[in-house]
Amino acid sequence: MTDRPERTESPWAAGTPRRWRDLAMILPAFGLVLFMPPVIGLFVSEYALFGVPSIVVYVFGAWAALIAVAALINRRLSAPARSRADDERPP
Amino acid sequence: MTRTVEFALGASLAYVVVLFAVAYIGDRRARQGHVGWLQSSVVYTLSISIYCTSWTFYGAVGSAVRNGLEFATIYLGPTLVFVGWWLLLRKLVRIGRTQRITSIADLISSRFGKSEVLGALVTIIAVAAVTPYIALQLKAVTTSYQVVAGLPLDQTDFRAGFWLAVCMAVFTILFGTRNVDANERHHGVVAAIALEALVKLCALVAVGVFVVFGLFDGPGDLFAHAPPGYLHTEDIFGPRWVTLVVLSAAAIVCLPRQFQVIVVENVNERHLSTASWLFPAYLFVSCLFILPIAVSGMTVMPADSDPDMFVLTIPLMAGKEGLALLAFLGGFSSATSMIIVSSIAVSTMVSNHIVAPLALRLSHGRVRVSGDVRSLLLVTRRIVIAAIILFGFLYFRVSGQSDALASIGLIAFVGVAQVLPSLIGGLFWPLANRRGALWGLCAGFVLWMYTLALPSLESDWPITARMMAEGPFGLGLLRPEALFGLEGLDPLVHATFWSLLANVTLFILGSLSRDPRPLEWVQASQFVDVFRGGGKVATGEGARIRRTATSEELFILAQRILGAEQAQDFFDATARRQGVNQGLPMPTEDLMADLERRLAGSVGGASARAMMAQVAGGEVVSIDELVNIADETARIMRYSQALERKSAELETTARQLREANERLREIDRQKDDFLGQVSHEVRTPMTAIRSFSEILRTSNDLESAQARRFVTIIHEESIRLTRLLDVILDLRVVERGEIPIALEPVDPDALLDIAAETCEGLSGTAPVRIRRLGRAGGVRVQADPDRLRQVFINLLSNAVRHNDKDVVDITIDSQVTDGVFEVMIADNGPGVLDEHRDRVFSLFSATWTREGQKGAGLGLAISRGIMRRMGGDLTLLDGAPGQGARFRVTLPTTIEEPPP
Repeated sequence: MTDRPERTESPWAAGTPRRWRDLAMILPAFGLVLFMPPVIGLFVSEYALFGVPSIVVYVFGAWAALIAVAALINRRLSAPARSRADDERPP
Repeated sequence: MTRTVEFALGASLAYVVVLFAVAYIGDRRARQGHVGWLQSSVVYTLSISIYCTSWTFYGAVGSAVRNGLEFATIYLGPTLVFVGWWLLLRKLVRIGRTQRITSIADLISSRFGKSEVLGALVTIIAVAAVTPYIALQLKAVTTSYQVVAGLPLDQTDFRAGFWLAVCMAVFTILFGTRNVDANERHHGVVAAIALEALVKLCALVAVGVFVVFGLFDGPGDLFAHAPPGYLHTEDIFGPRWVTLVVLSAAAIVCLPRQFQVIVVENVNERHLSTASWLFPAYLFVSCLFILPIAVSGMTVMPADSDPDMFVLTIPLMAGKEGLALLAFLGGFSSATSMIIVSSIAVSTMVSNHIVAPLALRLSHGRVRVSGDVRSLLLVTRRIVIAAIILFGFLYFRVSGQSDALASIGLIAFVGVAQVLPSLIGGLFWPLANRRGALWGLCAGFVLWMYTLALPSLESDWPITARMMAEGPFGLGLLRPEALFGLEGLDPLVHATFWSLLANVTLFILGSLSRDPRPLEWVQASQFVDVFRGGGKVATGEGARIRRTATSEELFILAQRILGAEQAQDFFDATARRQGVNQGLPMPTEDLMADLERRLAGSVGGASARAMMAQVAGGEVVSIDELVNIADETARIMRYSQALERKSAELETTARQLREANERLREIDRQKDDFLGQVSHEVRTPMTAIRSFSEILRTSNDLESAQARRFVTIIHEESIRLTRLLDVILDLRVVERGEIPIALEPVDPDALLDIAAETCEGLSGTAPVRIRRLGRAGGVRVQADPDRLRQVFINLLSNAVRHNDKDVVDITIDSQVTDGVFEVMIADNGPGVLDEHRDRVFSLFSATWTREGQKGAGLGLAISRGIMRRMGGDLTLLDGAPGQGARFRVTLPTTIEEPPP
């Protein structure tokens, strides 16, 4: 059983997008936690990074990180999706 | 000063001309088939950015001045929704494309059984939320125009707003109502708003960069100038923060214009995937400079200046008129793109969900002309666009002087958020039904009006002021901003809490209060299970809904709505698919389902259904089919159950096969053993015969009596051998363990003597000495004499064969105890090893052997079988190792005499 080719291929072919898909689903919840009290309240302080208040750095930093992860997910997900879409197209 | 006025006017006019030109070019390119960049994911993302209206363009800075980071919530909600596109937006877009959804009202109405009432209700909510919102845009443009032109702000100049309204109405009517099919993209409009998205982003970034690096020495210097304590309070991260994130997340989906650009105008789901990060990135960039502009406004501007206009007034103050003009154009483009798309979206909703159902009822029985519905729809949409923008202007004209407009943006958010429970529930909960949606929407709408929209009119309406303070008819519990005594909350949080709570609760209760109707089931399965083939069911195996119509009737209907040319195309394509070469296609259910979806793309699901019903009669949904097919989940479960059953069956079969195989192997092994045993069993009497005949042949001086005895033994052994062969060779008998036995009273001691005599002849290498100890003395047992003797001989010969001593010493002891005849046969051999004791009696066991010698497995097994058949037993007694084997044979005695 285990030495059949589709068995050995499938974890790579289907598993990778699966992991990214799950990440895509969990990402908004993650973002919600980042931007909701009490987490966001932790960053209100007198500290400043290059003169920019820490809360501003946090909000925009977390925001940018979220966008970066979303962009990464998009890249990972769209690669196999493209080939599948081509397959589905009628001749 | 006049130079600036002229310049501002000229610039806006030029900008509008450019918009028209871009839209015209975009439209023409699309018509010629050069869609190219018009259908790219970047343009799709830019068109979504109509979310950033002039309210956010100017107002965000004002909000940042008043509440610090709170302005960011308006952008964080959409960011979360887009980053999580896989959960909600992907499903929404897929449904929008498969069901040809024309607007959010159409989505709700289609999902809940193509209900006309729901469509109309959502439309009313949308109109109520959008009209003041448009007024807000007009006000923003007017104010900004006055600022740029240097006109005093205490007198509102409505001319700018009016002409803007007229321009936008003309533009939208020209480019927004080209097709009756709302699903066909408005390429001209999309091109124009993509350009506007770029303009407003550039304007904001330009002003921001100028502020940070022109007025100040980088961000560090800028924030050093911020008022003390600014941004250092945790207070804003409270209920209002949470509410605003939730509301903005709801708005990005539920605002009619957002639904229009995200779902209706989507041509490729991959665009959504790109927008999932590109649109948040757009929001991120447009937010980046809001705080710097706010901080610098607080620092360099006079204390009494309007923070909402900082984007404009800071460049003006710094003498950068070009930059101010760019900022003005940015705000202008935010306003215009919002007005354009909002009015298109709302006009589609009004024409499909209010005018079309009414027209259908009124025109019942009239003559139907080709394209009449189509032209009715187009005319309606044009009128509605003009009317919506006009109402917006009037609203602005009436309440322009008051501050009521400023909060309209968030009030509109709460209004459209009322659609969210029905939307989410409809997409993910199959049991959600029309009653729940209706109850929830009505409750949410009423509470929204009562707790938020009404108080916003406080300053204009004296009646409202008293009601606000004392509650209606003096009922303090019902005060709009402290409903049921819930005081101390921000009015926005208060209204959002009550309206959404009532909405969700009634939505769930209403849905649970009755079973979904058949059509609701069909729609629910197509929406909820859109990724599991729910969307395809209607096209492929569409035997769910039965109705009849002639092709001619359907063709006429299609012509009325789609127009002659498109209807002809559609029917030709269908006919080709059906293989019909000439004339109209067959009126199959597939054709009707296709046509209804096609019509739904123009008039909305509810109206399309009503029109089909006029032609084809009401659809009959068979409950049985629904139970069998419609519930996609149940179907999948059934499928997996069937699979499980099949795999269980396979497993059983495999097990049975394995068992059968095992049995075959066992039988095969038994056969092998059997052959070995047979030869062994045959050899025992053969050995006796050979030994005695050997003696007879070699001894010349044998007494004749002894010789006769030997010959007799040889004779008896030959007979026994023959019988043995008869029995043993009958495979079936052996396998079943059934050996025919004829019972008769016999003297066991006599048989023992015969057996002992027989075995004395078995002189192998060692002499055999058999001693009789006790005798039972004339008892009778019920037995088959041949068999019993076979057993004795077997035991004795075993004792001889399995002996390693020089002299084989066998003792035979028989007695009667309690009516049971008992024989003990013991030898002086090596005995039976403990590990072999269990297997000595098993059929064909050849293990109890000495090395290199075939054992007597068959013999012992058969012997025991024989004994048990005769009512006795054969057991191996315990014995110390080295003491030799001791077997005991038992048989019940009888008093019957042997036959004479």
